[in-house]
Amino acid sequence: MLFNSLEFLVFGILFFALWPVFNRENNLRWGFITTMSFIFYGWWDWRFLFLIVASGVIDYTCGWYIPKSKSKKLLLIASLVANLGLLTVFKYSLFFATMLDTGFGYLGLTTHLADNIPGFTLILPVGISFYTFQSLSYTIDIYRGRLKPVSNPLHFFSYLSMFPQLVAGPIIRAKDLLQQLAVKRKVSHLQKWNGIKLIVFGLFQKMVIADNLAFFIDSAFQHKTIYDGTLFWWLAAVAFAFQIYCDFCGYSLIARGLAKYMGYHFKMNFNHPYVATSLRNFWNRWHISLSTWFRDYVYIPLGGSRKGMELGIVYLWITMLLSGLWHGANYTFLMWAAIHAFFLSIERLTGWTKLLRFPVGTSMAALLVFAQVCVAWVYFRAESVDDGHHIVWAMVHYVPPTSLEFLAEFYNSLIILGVAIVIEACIHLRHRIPELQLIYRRSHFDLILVPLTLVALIFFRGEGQQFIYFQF
Amino acid sequence: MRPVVKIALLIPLAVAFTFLLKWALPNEEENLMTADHFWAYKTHYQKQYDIVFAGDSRVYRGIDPETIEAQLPYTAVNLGYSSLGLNKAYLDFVERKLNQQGPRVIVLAITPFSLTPEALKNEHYQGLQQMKRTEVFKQLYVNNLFSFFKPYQPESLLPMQDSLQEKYYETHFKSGWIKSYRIPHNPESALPSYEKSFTDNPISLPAVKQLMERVNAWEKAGITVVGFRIPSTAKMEALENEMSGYEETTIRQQFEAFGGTWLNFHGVELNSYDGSHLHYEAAQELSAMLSDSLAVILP
Repeated sequence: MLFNSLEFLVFGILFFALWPVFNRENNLRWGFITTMSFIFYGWWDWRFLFLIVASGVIDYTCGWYIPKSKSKKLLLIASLVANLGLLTVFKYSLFFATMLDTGFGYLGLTTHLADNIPGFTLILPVGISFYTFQSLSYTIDIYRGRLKPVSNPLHFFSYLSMFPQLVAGPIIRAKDLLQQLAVKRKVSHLQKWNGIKLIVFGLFQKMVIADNLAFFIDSAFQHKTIYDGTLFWWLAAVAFAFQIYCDFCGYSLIARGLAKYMGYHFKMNFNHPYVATSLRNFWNRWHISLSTWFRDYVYIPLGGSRKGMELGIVYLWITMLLSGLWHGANYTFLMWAAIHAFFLSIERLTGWTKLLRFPVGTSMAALLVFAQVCVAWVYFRAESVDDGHHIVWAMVHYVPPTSLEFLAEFYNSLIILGVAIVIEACIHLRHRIPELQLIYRRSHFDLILVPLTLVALIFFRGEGQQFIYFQF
Repeated sequence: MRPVVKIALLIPLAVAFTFLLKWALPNEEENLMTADHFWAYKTHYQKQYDIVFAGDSRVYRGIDPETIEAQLPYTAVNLGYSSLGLNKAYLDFVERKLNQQGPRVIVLAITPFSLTPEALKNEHYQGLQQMKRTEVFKQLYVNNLFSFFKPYQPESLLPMQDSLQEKYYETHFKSGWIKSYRIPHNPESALPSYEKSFTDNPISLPAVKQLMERVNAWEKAGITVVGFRIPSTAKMEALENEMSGYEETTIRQQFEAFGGTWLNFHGVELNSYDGSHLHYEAAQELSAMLSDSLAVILP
């Protein structure tokens, strides 16, 4: 079920109408959240509900026995193998089989592993990467002694399956949400208003910005147009940077808003990443729940930066490449991750961003970081790595435009791109200039802004598209 | 101001802004139906016809069944889809749209692209066929109720200078026709994209053979099958002949040998706004010519 669909509107109204009734008592609340979340997920394909249930049963059981057992590590390994095994089967079978076929091919052996993969593994269950990581955080934190297992399975499943963040994040850690779910939380009008604001702004980002940019980006990256040239591809890359940002950040905002309306707090998942003045800073602002997950469960356990610069860079590469693979079983995602790892390594080795810490310098740094991010996004969106090479080549070497007619053909998308940039700039200025923030708060500007945004998302919505991050 | 007041004012203010927006923005040409409803109706609405027109975007922009219905005592529908390939699944669908009684006529617009491997993937048609039942129901019966909320294009807020203005004007009809024209009028604008489309993608001979066998089967089943090459510009025709491997004379001979009737529009000059698709006035002209030809063929 998509947040920007009529089905979800009906679902949401029904859920929040019944919420006060079921929120009175723990078991009722947990049961209600779990049931409604299963309906939400099952709307896409009920057959894959068993994956969430299987993942949940394994982690609930392992989590329960870890503190009591002498073989804690064994239970943790069981949880890791089961979760990552399911993820591998449903997400990476074809990719690894193709890799093996190619590898054997180099050795002169002909294998047909990819052709013999069972059909059901070719369907990627929506949100599998999100709920798997969420579930894993539960057992790992119990193993590390940072979390106590919950006794009631309904309590655990209400955390694991909670619909706002189930299919596209943010990845909420068990220690952050289980406690909130343990008690009945009273929701103030202020929380409700803030929840509504987040939902409306999130829908705007998705339906107005991201969906209206889709036509231009799909036409460009799927080569449905005849246009080429440096200017064209930079515009396409910048447009994609904003499309994926607004698509995913929009989803996260809606999820946070829905949770807030229920009385729960989800941490911020995006913090205006395109104003980052270093790539490291970018990763503190982009998909924060995933980057901190990889930091806490992969990078730091590997050794982090404690074992010197060189090893730190090796761990950085491992973490980034795993993050690339998390996004999808495709070389394009690995390339995207490798570019980030490469630029992060340079940044760490040279510390070039520190040289630009003066008023104009920080803007220059932000621009340079944004350019690096855009180059990496090209591979993320390209149909193949070779295709990505072609586009990046056109971006970094001056290729004259085949025609400037694309400015007219994609005029609507370009207006929207302009709107997105202006909005980001305004928010950035508001955060940087305290007086503006004060005026914004005191003037109750949101009283006008929220209904205006609501009207804009109804009348300037683009053609409905699935959220990009559903595929991960 | 207290948040509860803000929540209470949200909907009234949104309604007020809605009417302000409707008042301030220019009225766009009123479409008879939205594009989504149009495609859902064409693909999923259970209705059958005497005459069925099949083919790609040149058909759905170039043939107006209402013009034909005005001249002939039969019902007609346009079943054109974007980048369509004349493959088995689509031809089965075309057949299902025919009335069981009456004249039973299938008119195939056989363009070079519709016989290429790329077109035979039929992404547009397949995508619509695979729509979920709930989505079909929504598009057919629910969404049109909300036409008041039809979205505006961002350019309505920030119109482009006249010198740069480029726009596709489209009106969708239940008959399956899209009345269209484009500004600026440039009968050569589609040539580069067609050149690209035919690169490494010539027509598939097995697909031609399969089509001819189907024509034969239809004729044996009592269906009148009419074929023609839909007119475009001379430059487009030359490009298609050169790059696609399409030989009209051979196709015509095969088509007739398998029992079909070929209509020859060779040399007919009609106004195309991009070199591929017909301006709506030309589309109505072609439709009138088609109905004259069908009047001769049909009882």
